[in-house]
Amino acid sequence: MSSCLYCQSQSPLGTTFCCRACEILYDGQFQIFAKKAQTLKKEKWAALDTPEARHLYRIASSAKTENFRLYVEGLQCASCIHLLEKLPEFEPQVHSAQVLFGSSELLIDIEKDLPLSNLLTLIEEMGYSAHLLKKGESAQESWQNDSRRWLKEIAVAGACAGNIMMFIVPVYAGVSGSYKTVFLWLSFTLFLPILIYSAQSIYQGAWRALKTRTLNTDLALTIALWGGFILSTFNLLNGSDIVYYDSTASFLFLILVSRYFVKKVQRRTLLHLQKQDSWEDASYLKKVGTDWAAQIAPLLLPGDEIKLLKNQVLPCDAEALSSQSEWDTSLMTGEVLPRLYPHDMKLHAGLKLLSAETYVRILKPYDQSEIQQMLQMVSRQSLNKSQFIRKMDLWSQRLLMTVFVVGILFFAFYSSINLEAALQRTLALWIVACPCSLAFAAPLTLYRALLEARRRGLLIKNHDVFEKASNIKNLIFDKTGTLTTGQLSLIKSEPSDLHQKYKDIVLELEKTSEHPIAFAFRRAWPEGPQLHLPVSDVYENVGEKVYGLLDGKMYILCRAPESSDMLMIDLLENGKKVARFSFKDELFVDTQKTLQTLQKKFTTFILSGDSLSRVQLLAKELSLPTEKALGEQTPLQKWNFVKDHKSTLMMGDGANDAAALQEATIGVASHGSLEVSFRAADIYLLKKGLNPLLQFFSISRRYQIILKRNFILAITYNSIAGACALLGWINPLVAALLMPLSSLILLLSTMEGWS
Amino acid sequence: MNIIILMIPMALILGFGFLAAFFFAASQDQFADLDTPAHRILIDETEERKTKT
Amino acid sequence: MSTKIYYDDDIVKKFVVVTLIWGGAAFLFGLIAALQLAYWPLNLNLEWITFGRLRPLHTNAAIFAFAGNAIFAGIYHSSQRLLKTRMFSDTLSRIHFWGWQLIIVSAAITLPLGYTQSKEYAELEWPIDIAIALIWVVFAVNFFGTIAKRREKHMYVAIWFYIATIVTVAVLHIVNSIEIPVGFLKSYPVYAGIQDAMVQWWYGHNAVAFFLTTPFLGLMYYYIPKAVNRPVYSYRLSIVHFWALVFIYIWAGPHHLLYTSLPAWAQTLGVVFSVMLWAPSWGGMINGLLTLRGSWHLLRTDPIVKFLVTAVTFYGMSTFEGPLLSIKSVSALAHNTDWIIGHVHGGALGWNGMMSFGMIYYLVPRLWKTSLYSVALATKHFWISLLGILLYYISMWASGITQGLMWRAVDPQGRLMYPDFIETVVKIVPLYWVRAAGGLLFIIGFFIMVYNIIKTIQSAPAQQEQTPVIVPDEQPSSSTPDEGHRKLEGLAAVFTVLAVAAILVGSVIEIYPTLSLHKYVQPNKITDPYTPLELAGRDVYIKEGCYVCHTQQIRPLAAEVLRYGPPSTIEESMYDHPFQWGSKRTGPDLARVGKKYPDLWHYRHMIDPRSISAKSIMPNYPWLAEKKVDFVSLRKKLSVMKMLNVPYDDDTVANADIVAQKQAQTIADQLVTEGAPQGLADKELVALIAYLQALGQKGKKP
Repeated sequence: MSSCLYCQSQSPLGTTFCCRACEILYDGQFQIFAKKAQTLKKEKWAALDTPEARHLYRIASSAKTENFRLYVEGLQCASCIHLLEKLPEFEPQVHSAQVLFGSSELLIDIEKDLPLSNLLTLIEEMGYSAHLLKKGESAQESWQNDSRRWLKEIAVAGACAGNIMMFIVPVYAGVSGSYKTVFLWLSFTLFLPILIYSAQSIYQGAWRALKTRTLNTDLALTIALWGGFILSTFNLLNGSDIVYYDSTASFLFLILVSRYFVKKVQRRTLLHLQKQDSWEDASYLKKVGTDWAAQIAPLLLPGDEIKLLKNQVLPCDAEALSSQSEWDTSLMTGEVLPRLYPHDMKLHAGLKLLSAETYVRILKPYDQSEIQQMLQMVSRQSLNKSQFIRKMDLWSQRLLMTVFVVGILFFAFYSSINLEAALQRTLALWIVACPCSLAFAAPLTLYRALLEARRRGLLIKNHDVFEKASNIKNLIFDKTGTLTTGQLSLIKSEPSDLHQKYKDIVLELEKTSEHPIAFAFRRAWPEGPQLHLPVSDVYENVGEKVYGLLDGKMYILCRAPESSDMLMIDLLENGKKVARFSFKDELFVDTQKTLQTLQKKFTTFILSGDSLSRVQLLAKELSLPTEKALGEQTPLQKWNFVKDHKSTLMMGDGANDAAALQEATIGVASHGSLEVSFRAADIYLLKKGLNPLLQFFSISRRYQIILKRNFILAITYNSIAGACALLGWINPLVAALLMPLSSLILLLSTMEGWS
Repeated sequence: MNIIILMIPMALILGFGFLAAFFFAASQDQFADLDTPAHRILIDETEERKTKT
Repeated sequence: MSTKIYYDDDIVKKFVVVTLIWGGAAFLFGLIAALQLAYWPLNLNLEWITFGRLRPLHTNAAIFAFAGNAIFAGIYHSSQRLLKTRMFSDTLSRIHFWGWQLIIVSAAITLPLGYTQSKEYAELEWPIDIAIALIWVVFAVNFFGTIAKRREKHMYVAIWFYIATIVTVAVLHIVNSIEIPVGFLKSYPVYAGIQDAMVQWWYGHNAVAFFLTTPFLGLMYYYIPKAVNRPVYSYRLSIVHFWALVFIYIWAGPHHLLYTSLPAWAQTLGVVFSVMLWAPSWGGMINGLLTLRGSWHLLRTDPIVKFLVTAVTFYGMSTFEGPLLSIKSVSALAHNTDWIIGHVHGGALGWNGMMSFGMIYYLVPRLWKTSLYSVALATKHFWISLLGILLYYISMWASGITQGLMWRAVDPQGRLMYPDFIETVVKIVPLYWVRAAGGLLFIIGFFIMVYNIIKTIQSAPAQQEQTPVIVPDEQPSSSTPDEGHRKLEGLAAVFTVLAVAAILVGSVIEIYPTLSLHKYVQPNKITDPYTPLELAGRDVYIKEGCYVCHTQQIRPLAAEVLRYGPPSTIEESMYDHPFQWGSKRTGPDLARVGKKYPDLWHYRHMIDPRSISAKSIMPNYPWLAEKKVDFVSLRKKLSVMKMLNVPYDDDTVANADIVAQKQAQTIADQLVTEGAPQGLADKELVALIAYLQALGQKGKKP
């Protein structure tokens, strides 16, 4: 690593600047840059300038200006924020620009006649890729409203609990007479805002429980809260100083804080869900009369004729109008090699065009394409999936039930001996023994586990995965993008001392090709052509052959007749083979090692949409039994396979994995996965390769241990505190020490033993 | 010790004054974005660093 | 849509320059005071610079002149940049600047002349108190005006720390300064005895909190990230620890009054909250230090970073030591000793000093558009002053613990091992020399910096033209449409809270009559007020700053009772406007010194303490035998006291001067018979003797 010349933050080795912003700022020529930026071509975003598109993305508007929200990729450092917030300086029609670094968003306020294409071009020229967000699409937005309320509730609880303590400490320390009376009543008064304001969300939860005739932690908290309040106030009115305002208040404060933490982690996960479909706001050329007009994908209608350019992604399901076109289907199928589709062929959204411009006709609107439908289905399902909360509630319910029953039995028994003492002790039991510490420790353990996971490159979407991890028996891997990088690598050239001339010819032939083989050649010989040979008349018969002329000789690059999978390529000189190249799927660096470790504990399978022979080849390399490596799998087959194998962890990346990921006990989307599989999965890897998977199992193990430990601690505390309460040994000072002490112990237990 | 008659309201007023300030800050979305501000201050509008190579 | 504006850097330059000037003065006063303790003749027999008057001058100069101006320099510099706007009003900035310097100058004149309220860090007399309040309001208006016209929607955490400072200091200053004037430069606080002690230390502790901590944390949160060019380690943590700090700090005051006659519950309260302060304080420290993650190498090369990081480290040490010292058993040993002095200087020199130096080294080259004259000199400054602080800190720890242990040492027969107080003084005088050496090093370092800064400014281009700043035209408007609703919700919430607060205050005021007025005063122990002459003597005691070295509060600890007599009671100081409990025992406690020695003993002791105790380090006070008592003002003084509920009868008030003169004559005559010279009857010395002989004698025995 070297450090950026401008902002001194770390930048990739060999680069002077960490980002374009630093470069622009370092030059100090941003005025010139701004002027230059205005003259740029903006065809790429032209479709955003239609009134419909503008309307679609507008968040708010005033008399003169309109607000838009953008998701900006590539924010690195302070300079990025600085430069983007300088937008009003570059473009006077921008009134304000505000970066939200945490969520990678940019809020802008622009004049109504500033075309969006100008803005996006300018931002792109600054070195970022920006996408417009529709209203309500921003995770930040909805979070803000909720978080504002929670923060206020916490602040009131904290301030009141603190002030109550200020008045109760003197009571413990022996203040007497009228001061004591005043202090006790002040703590009573200060308890009211907590009761009325801060506990609102807890009451809502309790109400839900009552409506569904179940018990939950919120109900327990409500009872502890009101039990404490009623008992304290009753005593206060009777001239006693046995009050629990302080312990109950500080307790509630701690619970609210821990809940806030959990929500925060959940929100971080949501932020990553926000990743945009990269083709949504791109411009597509739509036929209008005899002309071509730019249009964004959500506004395309069935029947529209589209001119798709090279490297564009097909936004909607469509049919091909051109005679033959070559498509990269890896996003959808996991296939490494491109496919050729003829005229009339039905094409799915999400395919990427590799050949030159192609005409298609839209069949379905954007949001009804197969991929979008699947996406929606998946996100609906993942919402109903949180087992975790239910499980915690179950534990709390049992504990709560026990505490209640014990309390009532005790009261029934003891009230005949001493009615008032019976009441006091029963309420004291409910205050100290309601499973508050459990309600507080469990989400915190989860929070800690999520944090730890994030630190090690795992983004956890479904929180129950930590518990499910212990049941996992089978591991199923997709091939491309999961075990392999999705790229081919040149493993062998024949003859091995290949003449530089032939290397150059190959490189010249593949110069403009987007074919994976071409990329593999370029990676294998990164120094590029050396001899500057005038290879002419290069013609690529896409997916078949590449021709070219040099010194009157015809050179052809084509599949070797012995190879069924195009894993061998021959170079022919006037029809005579002069070289042969062999390729294989490129593995991630750690695949082999990690898989060996995992194989010891789990039954491991490979399921791939790619050809069987290539999958088998890979299995051999990874010393996996060939019967456990299945190729040419359709999404449905994958799904069925997962369904037939219980207790599976499935890891994949393609859209063809989505259903299987959803079906698996735990679905893991590998790094750089397609949006759809990411949404279907429970875990998303932030790092490449398989290593994070090992980390996941170790975190899960620790999570379970700590949860058990906490559970035992909570039960122990509850039994002891409960017994003390029934014996009449609990006084407010004991409660004030015991309740926070128990949470402190649980807190320490939760934070301990992770690293 | 009558002084606490003065000091308790002082403390409460200050405490709740700060609480009111917190509420105000929350409603002004001062806590909405806690990532950007730390970065934002690092670069001044006048660029002193330009001359430094 | 952007505008060109100019920041007001001129005002920052001004504050930087005066920080250096007053810093030098404050440190020199401190050094002289330290040397006076090590070598008493340095009091020079001059009333204006005796230790009792010099120490308040030193503390006030260090806190309000040096730290104060440094804070203002930092606030004026960083706020404009953080809020992306020029200060609200240049005129107000200038009024603030010149007003504050005028206050400092008037303090520097009145304190040596003996005009003091004797409340620590609030010694200044009432006209200056009013001036401080006014100038502070000017500052507040200017600051909040700047916030109102800011171009940056989000207020960076430093701004919040500044806000807390401005608001709280105003409240503290006003509440603690409620006083009734009896003359142009003389007043009595409305609080007496324990009440005054409570208010004073509520103020005293929070002055540390909100004058020496929160603003410097604000500066830390701006200058450390700037200096290392990295965002603060955790912005979230900074927000959390800010709110935690402002909610807790205000309640730690009573830890200054442990084992006094303050009710036990109030002491416990102070202890609990002081210990709780540990967490948010360390939150700040950790956040400051970890901001350097990945940039630790700068610590080797960049003196600015050295200063800032060392400052934060000292902050961590002081905020660890503070709660420790407020634990009752630790306080029993450490209170009134030099340990406290060491603790304070760890904070003042280490945290405030180093922070200010780092900030000044950062600011000056940027403000004057040049580069630092010598990095090597700055590095030298750092090491020399660090060595100085460590010498200071360590010598004071040693001295404090030695003295504390000697005071409490009791032999198996239950007698004090060092019954003669002077033994405990002689033992630590060598450490006073070490301390003075530490201070000297600190000052040498400081003057190296002054030289470096002067050279830097001289190297600056003569043409100091302002660089314009391009800022957005208007405040970024929020993009959420339901703004109105949210505002309403916010307002409603604020309103609720304010209403609750108002109700609380109202109810407390209603409850007021139900509280018995002298709840803690036992009815069979009613105290007599001071006679007019004793009151005059008490004013001499205050003027000479006797409270700086002598406490008047015997703690209920065995050794202390053996040495000084029964513990002090609330009643004994119930008419003390202001209280004279003190906080440091350089000399012995005086709460029960009355009638312990004959008048002549006191006479000789004041003229030359060494004629009584050969090793004494107390200054001579020969002028007390020459200066006349102001009998005329006594009527006014007594009537003010009467107004403050001190039970003087009308006769005594009306004839205060005559009554006083009569008592003075009696004492003077008695002195003559014992061998003192003639003509002392109208001299301050007689009044002082009258007061000293009354100490501990006012409470009627049951």
